[in-house]
This record gives sequence, C-alpha cells and structure tokens, in this order.
Amino acid sequence: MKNKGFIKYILLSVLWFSLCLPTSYAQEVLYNLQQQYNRLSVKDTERFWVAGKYVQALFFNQQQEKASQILNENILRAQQEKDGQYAAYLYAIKAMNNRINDEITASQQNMAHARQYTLKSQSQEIKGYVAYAEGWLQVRNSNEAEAVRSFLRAIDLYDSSPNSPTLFARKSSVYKELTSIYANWDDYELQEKYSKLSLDLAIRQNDPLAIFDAYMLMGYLHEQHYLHDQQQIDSRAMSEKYYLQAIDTYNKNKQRMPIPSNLSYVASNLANLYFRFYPENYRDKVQYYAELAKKQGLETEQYSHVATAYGIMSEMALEKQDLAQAKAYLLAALVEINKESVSDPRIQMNIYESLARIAETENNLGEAIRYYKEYMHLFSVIYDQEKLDLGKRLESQFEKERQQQQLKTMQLEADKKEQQLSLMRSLGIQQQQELENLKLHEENQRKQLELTQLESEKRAQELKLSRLETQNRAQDILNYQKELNYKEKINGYYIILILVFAIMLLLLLYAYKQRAKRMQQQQVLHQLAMEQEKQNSKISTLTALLEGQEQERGRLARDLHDGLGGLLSGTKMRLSHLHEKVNQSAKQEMSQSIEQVDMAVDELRRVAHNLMPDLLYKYGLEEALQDYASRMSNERLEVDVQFLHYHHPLPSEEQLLIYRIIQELVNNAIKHAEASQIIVQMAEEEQEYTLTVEDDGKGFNPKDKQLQKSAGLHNIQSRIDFLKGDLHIHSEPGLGTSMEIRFPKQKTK
Amino acid sequence: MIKIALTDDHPLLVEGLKNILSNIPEHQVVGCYATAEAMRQALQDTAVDVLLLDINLPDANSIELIKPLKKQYPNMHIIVLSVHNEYAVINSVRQEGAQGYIQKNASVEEIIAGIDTVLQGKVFLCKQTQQVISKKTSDKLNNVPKLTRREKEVLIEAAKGLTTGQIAEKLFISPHTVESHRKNLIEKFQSANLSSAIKLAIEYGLIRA
Repeated sequence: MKNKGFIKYILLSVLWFSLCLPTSYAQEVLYNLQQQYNRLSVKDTERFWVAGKYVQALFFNQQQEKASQILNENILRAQQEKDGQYAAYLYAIKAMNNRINDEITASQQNMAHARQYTLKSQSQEIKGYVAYAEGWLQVRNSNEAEAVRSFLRAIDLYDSSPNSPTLFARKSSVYKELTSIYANWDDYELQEKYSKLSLDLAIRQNDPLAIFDAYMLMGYLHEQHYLHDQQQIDSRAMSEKYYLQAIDTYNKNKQRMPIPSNLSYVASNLANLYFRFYPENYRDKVQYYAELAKKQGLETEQYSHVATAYGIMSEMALEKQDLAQAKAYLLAALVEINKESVSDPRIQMNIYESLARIAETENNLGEAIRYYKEYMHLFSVIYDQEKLDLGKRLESQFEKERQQQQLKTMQLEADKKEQQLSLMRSLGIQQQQELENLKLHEENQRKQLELTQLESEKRAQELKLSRLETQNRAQDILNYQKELNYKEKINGYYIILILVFAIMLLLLLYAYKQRAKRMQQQQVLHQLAMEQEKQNSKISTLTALLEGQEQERGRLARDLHDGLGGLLSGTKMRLSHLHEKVNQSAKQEMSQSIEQVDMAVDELRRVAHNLMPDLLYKYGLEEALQDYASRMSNERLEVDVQFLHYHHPLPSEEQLLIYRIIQELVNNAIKHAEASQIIVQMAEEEQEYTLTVEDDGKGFNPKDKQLQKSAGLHNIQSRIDFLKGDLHIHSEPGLGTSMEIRFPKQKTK
Repeated sequence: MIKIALTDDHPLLVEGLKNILSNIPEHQVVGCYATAEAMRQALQDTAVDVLLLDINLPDANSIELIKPLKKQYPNMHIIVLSVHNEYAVINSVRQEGAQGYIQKNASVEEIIAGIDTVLQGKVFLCKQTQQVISKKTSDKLNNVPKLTRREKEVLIEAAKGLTTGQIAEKLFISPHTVESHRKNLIEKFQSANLSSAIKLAIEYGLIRA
C-alpha cells in the first residue's frame, strides 16, 4: 500500500504538472499567447478567448497580479458584450484562480456571476465550461459527489455544442477530472471508461500530447487494476501495452511533444512495472527503462523521475546484495530529489528508509540512526499530510456509500411505491365496485329525485294554480282598490268642493260680519259723534244758558244795586232829614222806618251780590271769595277762605263757575249740615287746581242717591263737567263733609 | 263857603243830598253830574273844594278817575260815596288817593262830618267802613291756619316720622296727593319745611304731639 500511495502520488503530481504545463514550455507558450493577445484588436471578441488562456499562463508562471489585472480589464469589457459567454468564461477562470489562492468567498461570488452570464448566452460550450469550472471548484472543496454531477452536465452541454477548436481540449479536461475522482473512489470501471473516452478524444483530435497523456492514464489505470487484483494478468499486459504505446507515441512525435519530461515519466513508470510485476528475466528491460528515465529526467530536469530511476536501480542492486552500489544509487537519488523545486517528501522518506536499512545491514548503526531520524521526521510530515488526505478520502468514500445507500433507499422506496401502487390498484377495484354501488345508489337517488321533481312539478303546478288564483284575487283586489281609489277620489273632490263652499260661505259670513261690524262701528262712531255733538251743543247751550243767566243776573243785580239801592239810599236820606223836623210821637215811627230802609239796603246788597259778584271782575276770585266769606261769617259760623300757590289766576268764566260752585256748596253746608266752620281752600298745582270745601256739619252718606240727585248737586256737577273736572265727596255722618274738586288747567288761555 | 260837587247817576239821591247840604251854612253845592264826562266838563270851569263821587257811574268806573282828578285838581278833596261795603273796594279807593269813603246808607251827619274832616286835611271813613277795615285787620292778625281733616291726618303721620310713600299707603291716597298736601301745609304755616310746620301745628294745638 505504501508503494502504491508513493506511485500514485507521483502520477497525480505528474498529472497536475501536465495540466499546468512545465516551466520551460510555459515560457514559450506564455510568449506566444502574449503576442497573440497584443495582436488582436480590443474590439475582437476572439481576444477574450486568448485573454483567458493568457491569464491562465500568467497565473501559473507566478505573474498573478498581472493575470488578475488583465482578467479584470477583460471582464469589464466582456460585460459590455451582448452575448454573456465571454464574461461567463472569464468569470469562471477568475473563480478557479480565486480558489487556488484560497479566496473561497470571492471564488463563489465570481462563479455566481459566471452562472448569471451564461443565462445571457446561447453558447452550449461556454455553459459546459462554466459547469466544468463549478465541478472543478467542488472537487477542491471536497464535494466530489456534487462535482461528478457538474462534470456530467458539462459533458452533456459539450456533446450538444458544435465542434470548435477548443471543444476537445475542454472535454478532455472534464474526462481527466472525472477519472481522477473515480480513481480516488477506486471505481475502475468508470475510471477506465473516462480514460478511454479521453483517449478516443485525443486520437480524434490527433494531439500527440493528449494521446500520450491518455495512454499514460490507461497504463497507470491497468497497473492499478493489476495491483489491486494480482490475478488479472490481462491488466498487467494492458498496462505494459499502454505504457509502450505512450513511449511509441512520444518517439513518433518527438518534435511536436511540448513536454519532453513525459518520456522520463513513462520510462520510470514502465521500469517500475517491469521491476515489480514481471519475472526476473525482465531485469534488462528494467535496467533499460530506468536508464532511459534517468537520462531523460536529467535532460528535462525532472529530478523526481531521476530519483525514481535511481530508486529502482538501488532496489535491483540490493537484490544482487551489492549494498555499496545500492547505497550509491540511493544517495544519488537523494541528491536528485533535492534538486527538485517542489520535492516530494515520500520519495525522500523512502530513500532515507532504504538508506537506513542498508546502513543497518552494514552494521553502520550511527548512520542508520541518522537516516532513521530523517525518515521519522519525513514520516511524521507525511503522516500528518496523509491523515488529512485520508480523512478527505474517507469522507468522499462515505459520501459514495451514502449515495449508494440513498440509491438503495430510493429503490426501496420505489418498491414500496410499487406495492402501494398495486395496493391502490386493488383498492381501485374495490373503489370501482363501490363506485358501481354508488352509481346504483345514485340511480336510485336520481329516480327519487325524478319522483321529487315530478312532485315538485306537481306542486309547482299547484303553486301556479294558487298563484293564478292569488293573481286573480290580486286582480280583484286591484280592481276593488281602483274602485275604492276612484270613490275616494270622487269623495275627495266632494270634500274639496264642500270645503270650498264652506270656505266661501265662511268668507261671505266673515265679510258680512265685517261689514255689519263696520256699519255698527260706523253707527257707534256716528252715535258717538252725535253724542259729542249733543254734548257740545249741550255744553254750548249750557254755556249760553249760563252766560245768559249770568248776564241777566248781572243786569238785575246792577239794576237792583244801583237803581233800587240808590232809591233806598235817597229815601233813607230824606227820611233822616225829615226825622229832625217831625214831632216826638212821629219820630219813633220814623226811626223805625229808617231802620227798615237800612235793612232793605242790606238785603238788596246781599241779593245783588248773590246775583252778581261784582268784585269777581274787578278784583278777582280771591278778593271776591274773601268778601263772600266775611259776609257769610257771623257769630255762629266761620267761613275761612285760603288760596295756596295761586299764581296763575283762572280765566274769568272759570272764576265765575268756581264762585258759583263755592256759593252752592257753602249754601248747602249752611242749609243742610248746620255747620259751624267751613273751610274753602283753592290750591294750584302743576297740572290742575284743587278746590276743597270742608264743613264740620252733620255729614251724610255719599251713597245716598237721593241727595246726589238734588238740584243743588246737579247744578254743581254740570258746572264741574264744564270745567272737565271731577268731584270727590268724603262724608261721614257726624264727622262733616269734605268736597274735593279737581280740574285741569286750561291750556289755551 | 265850601264848594261841593256831586257826581251820581241816581237822581233821587242827588236831589236828597243837594237839599240837605244846601241847608247847611257855608256849604254850597256848585254842581251835580250824572256822568263822568259831564263832571269832567264842568270841573274845567268850576272850582270845587269837595267832590262826592259815586263809584258805579254809567260811563266809567270812578275808582280809576280818582288819581287823574287829584293830579288835575290838587286842591279838590274827593270823598267816595258808594253802596259798596267790600274791603277790596274800600282799600283800592283809599290807595288811589281819595280822602274819604262813605257808604250811601250812612247818616246825613256822617256825610257832613266827612266833608268837614277832609277839608281839614284828614282822612274820613264812615262807621260801617271802619268796621269792615277793623274786621279785616283782626282776621289778618289771627293767622292760625285752618287745616282740613286730610291735612291733619297727613301732618300727624308725618309727625310720626313716616315717609311720603308710607303715608300714602296708610291713608289710601296716591303719593302725589301726599306731596301736594305737604307743599300746601308748608305754605299754610309759611315755614321752610314740613318739620317746622309740624312744630308750629303742635304749638297751635292743631295736632297733638
């Protein structure tokens, strides 16, 4: 197993180298690509493809910054292109480069960009390339199962795309990846299948390098197969055959082979094959190919190949018990392997182990220990590395098993489903029967339904009938209603007519009443006017009457006073003159006559005064009344006249009326009440005059109508009316009488 | 010789007086006139010492003639001979400047005495006239005002300290009437306000305190 791992590692590393191209070749290719790239115009889309290759070349020649710069430039330009294939291609390259630099996140992002750009393109080849890149990344991310799926999709896409110069190379890359995965999984059949496909492709392509690689792969494959199962002699033969064909191919196309180291590689492999699995008579061949490998390896500076050749030669020397020779070869191998820039520790470790063993055999223990120490050191390095790889491998194996298990599970599930299906089928039959039952049932129901339908029809008809009846009735009702409405309308008209009549009647009545009222009012007014007229005429008559009366009285008084008075005065004078001359007996009689004449004069004066108060005109009401009072007063009667605030004398006719009223009242008081004191008081106020005549006589009941109707009071009342005043009588039997007359001031003087 | 003129429209009286006066020595009736006009005409030519003048002449009120006559004839003495015994008439005659006033029913002696008195430059009033004047004077002196019953009631209530409104309410009369009574009372007592009127009324015994 140790050997197998050693060889396998060499192979894988060789495979990688062949993919990445050796430096010498790379320089040349890089130069060519640079020329090509610079030649092409910026606008040429071909430039993108060249750019991809150029970038990869730069990347693997330790010019990663430049590679990334050119890549980014081209990506920017490719993004402007309508077809997304260029951007997708370049993004895929970028993603892979990111992965190599362990920039996993950036790698995934760029991969996503690449996928998106494929949607903008019809190119199946580029879609395939992107799928390949995805697989490539998945392998590196230890997700080989997913990677296989991606690679298979890539192959599908490549198969459906038209031929192109790049298609074969790309397809073969996929095959190589797949082969390597299946190799890891120890699935020889599939490994062989893809190796063969790769070979076919290479042959069809007529690319010597590809053909060589394919042969190499096939050889290695069969070698592995034989190693796995020593019974498979065919595999050993096939392995030998393919290796030989590879050498043949190389030799035939020596000029066109870009990688000269390939020959040393196949030679060392073939030497190893002969040495390990062929009988001793093949030792010459071993020697030959080992020498070839050594020679070619030194030429192409493939020191690992040289070391491998030395290793084989050392093994052969050991078989011949030639320890010194073996040791010399081993030391040479050690020297060669140390020349390798990237030396393989396993080879070194194997070398140290062999050296240690030889030193042990030679009893050179110190040296042995030194080599063992080296060996131990390398072993621990490798062991760590292997452990890591083993883990990964186990993981992938587990993954495979898991997939197988999944497959089994799925199969089981499929079986289960099939069973279920059959179950369902049987169920279906049952269901069909049930269905039939249901159908029958349904039929039954249908019939029932028909029956009910018939019934419902019947009912509907009945309903229709009843509806018709109701319609009829409704019609009747409608008719009736119409009639009713008509009657109502007529009634309404009648009512309106009656109302109109009633209103008209009312209006007429109202008008008549108004007219009557107006007439009545007019009549009343007329009457009032008449009454007023009557009153006026009455007053004027009264006034005239009073005036006439007063005039007559005045004339009479004057006649009496002046005429009769004068006559009496003259008579008295004569009589008194005669009185001196008559005798004593006649004298007494004469004196009596003179006295009687005096009395007559007094009486005349009284009468005249009563008839006409002359003073009233000459000296005014107050003087006249004062005189009147003094004349009326005597020992048994005191008449007191007072005028209060009397600043505006009354008109003469009013003065006379007042005088007459006072005369009447005082006369009444003297005549009926037998008063001993009478107060006559005239007071002027703002708007009116108040006349008070109060006595301390017997008094009377003012409600005694008899009294009120007496001639004296009637005369007073008519005079008060003339003054437009009113009379208040306060009288109580035994407490005297108080008469109060208020009359307004005359406004027009 | 005393020249006497008579002015009266009453022929009987004029005749009687003329007869009486003519019989008295030193007395001469120089003229008798029935109207004021006639008197005025006659007086221009006739000197008169005493004029006996009636008040009620047919063509004039003699009282109004006194002043002009006195002015025109300063030496003529005027005695009014009248049937009037009213104070107002007497008073006005005296104020006009007449020296005497004799009522017509006075005795002949009085008339002669009157003529003599006025000729001495004195005023003469007949007995009846003197009576009228003295009565008036006594009336004026007795100035205790007479109160009506209502006025007394108002005064009594006011004396109790009631306001106008309260008095009106109590006496069932309007406040306006109470106010009138109040004013009248103040004038009657000739006082400045009602409280002094009340004081006077109590003093005079018109109301009790």
